[in-house]
Amino acid sequence: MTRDADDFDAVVRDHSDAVYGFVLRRVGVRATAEDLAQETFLRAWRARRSLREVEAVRAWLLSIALNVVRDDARRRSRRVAEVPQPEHLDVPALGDDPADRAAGTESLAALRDALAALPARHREMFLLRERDGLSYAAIASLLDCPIGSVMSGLSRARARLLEAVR
Amino acid sequence: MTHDDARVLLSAVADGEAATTPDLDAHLASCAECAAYASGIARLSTLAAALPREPAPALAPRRARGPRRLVRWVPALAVATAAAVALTVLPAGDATFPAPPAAAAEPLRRLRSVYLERTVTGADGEAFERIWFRAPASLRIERSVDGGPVETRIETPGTVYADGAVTTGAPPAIPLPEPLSPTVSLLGRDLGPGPVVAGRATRRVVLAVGEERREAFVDVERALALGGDEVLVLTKLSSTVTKRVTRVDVDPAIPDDLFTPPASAPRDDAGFVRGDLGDLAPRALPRGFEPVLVGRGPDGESALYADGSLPLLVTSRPIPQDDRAATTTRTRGERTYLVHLRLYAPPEVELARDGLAIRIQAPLPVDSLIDLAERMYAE
Repeated sequence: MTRDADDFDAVVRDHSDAVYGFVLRRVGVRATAEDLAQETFLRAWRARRSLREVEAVRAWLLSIALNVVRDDARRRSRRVAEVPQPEHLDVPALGDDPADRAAGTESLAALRDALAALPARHREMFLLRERDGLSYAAIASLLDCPIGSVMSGLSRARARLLEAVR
Repeated sequence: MTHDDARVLLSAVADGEAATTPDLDAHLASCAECAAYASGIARLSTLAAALPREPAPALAPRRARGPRRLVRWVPALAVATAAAVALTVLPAGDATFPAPPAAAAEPLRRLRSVYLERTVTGADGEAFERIWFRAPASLRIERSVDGGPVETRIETPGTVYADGAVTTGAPPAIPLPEPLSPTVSLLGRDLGPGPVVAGRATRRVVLAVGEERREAFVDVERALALGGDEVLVLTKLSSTVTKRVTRVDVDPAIPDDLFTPPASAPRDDAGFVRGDLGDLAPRALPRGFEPVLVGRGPDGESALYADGSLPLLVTSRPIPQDDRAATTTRTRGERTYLVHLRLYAPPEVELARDGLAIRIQAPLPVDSLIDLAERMYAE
């Protein structure tokens, strides 16, 4: 990653949605997610020289975000919400966006509902892969599980989601 | 190959994490369900990409609202306090004049109290600070580093509690907490749009004075937001220290005892005595300003005036040798003013009069300060 502040701003722009969504799925409260996402980028800024693989910026940011969420949970002396409320899944209600209509609003709504019904771990794997583009290795590292679990978890998540959108 | 095995492999192949195998190809040729699963993965990806996302905030301010309905008595108390002080310490001037334009600091006149929390992260670790401010000159700061013991500092007119001791008879100072200083508006250089948070636009502002440089993401309303519901929240970045406001309440009710130093603390006398001004007495004060603390100390005379939370400090003390100060000169008529600028401190102009160096400090533009000086200390 570049060490230049302007380029870091570009990193923030490119990945802020992913970091915010990642945090929101864990804390379930938008105001808290805003704070923790902000804290994530502050820590990333301070630790920017530790990043070795430019291609892995998002995975690196999400790993920082995970630590931020855990630290926050420790400070609050409560467990991180493993199953956030459906309205805080980083999958907001669908509007009148033309892109929504083009993709099929009904299918999108069905996908959103099916995502909410997935086991939290499978939902996370699916979103990290499909929304954030993380590799299996990065997902396994973030979720602290073997790559084989990521493979099987993704497969099961897709099977459940496909049933819902047919 | 089972259906489950085939789907795990198909999923990984679609993600580019595995290669297809002859067994998988053979299974697909004979299993319509798994073939449908394979074609469905791509459709699922398309749908997932079309899902709207929550707009994400970034390194930027949040807005906050203060419990305004609780504090109707606070402005009255502030006025009463100022009036009481005015009765015990005679105003130095016998006339008033309109205050000069001060758009950036205007809301300070209306700000009565504020509570804020922030984190300060630097080489020494992470400090957490809680700050209470009540107009015109009461300030309490609690600070703890890395969860350690809380250090408390209390400033009220004429009294400072710090390091476990009380200094009575302390000369007045401008007590505005740093995050509320309009210096960013007065001295900052606007570098264009910053990130948007919660639908609220920000500007990126750079403050550069002397060797010091800070960046801030500032609500577009900047200091104008101080007096209303929308609150300025700074996130400052530098290579060494990050100061991040995490909570702001405007006009909360703040009990008196928060500004009372512990009775057990040892006390020192700084030698400042309230009383009339001599050589420092201005000919007039800007309208609306009332004396908060006026008197004489070992280093000279000092007078703190305030209009609401907008402070005006006049001193005759010598200029400190502060390497962060950038001194320039400004000429108005036949007078030359020295101008002192510091980060997070209001600008200061200095004039020479009767062998004294009189300095006037307020969170106002330098031209406005010179206007004040021209009226207060006319030849």
